[in-house]
Amino acid sequence: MAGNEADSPVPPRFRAKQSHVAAPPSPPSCAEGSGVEVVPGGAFEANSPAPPAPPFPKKKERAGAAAPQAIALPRKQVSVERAASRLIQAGFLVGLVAVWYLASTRWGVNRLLLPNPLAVYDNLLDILRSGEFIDDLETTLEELAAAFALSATGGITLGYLISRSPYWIAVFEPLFAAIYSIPIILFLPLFVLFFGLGPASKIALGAAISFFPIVINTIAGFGHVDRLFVMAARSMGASDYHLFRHVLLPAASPVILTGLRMGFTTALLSIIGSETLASLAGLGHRIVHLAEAMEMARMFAYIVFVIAIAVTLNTIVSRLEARGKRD
Amino acid sequence: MAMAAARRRSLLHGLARRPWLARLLVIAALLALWEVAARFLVDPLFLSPPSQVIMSLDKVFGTRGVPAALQLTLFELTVAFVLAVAIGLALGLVIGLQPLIRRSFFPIVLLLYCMPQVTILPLFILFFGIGAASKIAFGVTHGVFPVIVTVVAGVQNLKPILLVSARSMGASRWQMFRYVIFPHMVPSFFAGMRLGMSGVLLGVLLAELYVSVAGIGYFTTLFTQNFDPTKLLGLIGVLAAMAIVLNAVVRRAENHFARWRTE
Repeated sequence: MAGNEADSPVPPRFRAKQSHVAAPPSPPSCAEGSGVEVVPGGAFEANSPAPPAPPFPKKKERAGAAAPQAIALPRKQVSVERAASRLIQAGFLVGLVAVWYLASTRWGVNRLLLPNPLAVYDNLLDILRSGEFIDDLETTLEELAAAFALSATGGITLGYLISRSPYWIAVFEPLFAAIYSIPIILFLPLFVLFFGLGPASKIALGAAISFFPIVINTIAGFGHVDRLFVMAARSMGASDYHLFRHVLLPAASPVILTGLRMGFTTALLSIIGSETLASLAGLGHRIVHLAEAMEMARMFAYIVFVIAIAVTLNTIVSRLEARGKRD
Repeated sequence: MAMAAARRRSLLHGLARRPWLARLLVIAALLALWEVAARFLVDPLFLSPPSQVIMSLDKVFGTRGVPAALQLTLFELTVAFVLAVAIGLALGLVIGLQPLIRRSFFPIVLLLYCMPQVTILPLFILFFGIGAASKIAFGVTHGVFPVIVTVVAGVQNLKPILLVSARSMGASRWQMFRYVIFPHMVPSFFAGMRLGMSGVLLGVLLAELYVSVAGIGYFTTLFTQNFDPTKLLGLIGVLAAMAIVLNAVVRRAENHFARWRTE
């Protein structure tokens, strides 16, 4: 699976363009609007920011096209449809909470399986007010910061060095892609064996898992810069520094930013995951601890809290990525 | 003398022509490093050399319960993958083909896709028990979202003109699905299957490592607590190989079925 790319005599740098044309439409990722998405187990796919496909023709629009007020109709219709979908979303969420409430109060679902949503809400307020989450949050965020710093510096440095030669790209890119397709969380027992139950094993595992998207995207970013730009800059007398600063870096940075965003997301995920599986402190540990103590309402409250934290962090990182790409 | 130089040049030349050879050399160098480190530098309680791991693979399989555990894990993976693909395809079609439903529920799907699901792993154990059911359920929730998202994206990428022309030529709903929507959806569907496979692997293995009574998670815990790195590495190696093979199979299928579009 990894070999076919490298066996071709043409180095990837020269083929980058044509291989993109044939790429299938890539799915929207977690954070929308990403430029290049590396998927596990394969070379990167470039999804040029294609305009979203026009919606299906609607019967009403076609019927109204002949009418005199045809121009005014679509806009009104769009806003009506948007309101309708918002309404459905709100109704869905309200219905979900209502079912949850009824299930826990009226329908006799065991409290140990599904606590009352009001109790969860009270617990959430209590957690936020008492500030007992601060220690665990600090542990998790410190692990995250250390792991991401390690994988970002290591991944970008190594990726840049490899990308300097088409030959090294051909040697290493399939290797990294193959390793990236293994769920590295499998190696958690080894990490625990080497680094103990404390933060060190989480940092090491998070760094190891987030290293791969970053290094693969860095190679893709620096290695697949259009040759024409490089040649033009060289022929106009650009020094190595100028070439890097004004050609390579601007061309590569969107792809690298995507890699960093993916690395951050996976680091967060794997750190919370490894805290859940084997640890002494941290948000994941707290959830497991409460689950084992059968304090369901508090556990649900912590789950809501952790999900809110994770979604906030991911949103911030996606915003930063989008801003970095715009500049 | 001249011949030796020529041979050396041809060796280098051959290496330059064949990056996969260099890749094998890199892997071999890493293994050698591991071997040296394990033999001379690290406490044998924590790391054992790769030669010993490979030699004792038969002992791993000879451990009572390990073959059954591997079989159980493979079974969980298969069931979870099939369920994730079936549910994901059905939901993706429903969400993708109805504009109102898509606008209402696709944001919810994306939000759920972004959630760190591992935080609710203890809930799965509570609801589904510590047996295979919780692993399958957790694998399904990891694998289903990429499938939904790619199916919706694939249906959306369909050119409206194809639908309009099919309808104007009098195609029924079923015919439109069978001859227009389905063939155009196939490439992204297989891309979704690949992403779903890595999701299912992640979910099932996470749940296995969290708590397990008969699956591989039980044995990784056992070998870790017994400080038996030889067997632990052997078992993890077998699982990693399994993951690589499964990913490769799905990827092959994707390349095969996506071909008609590029030709």
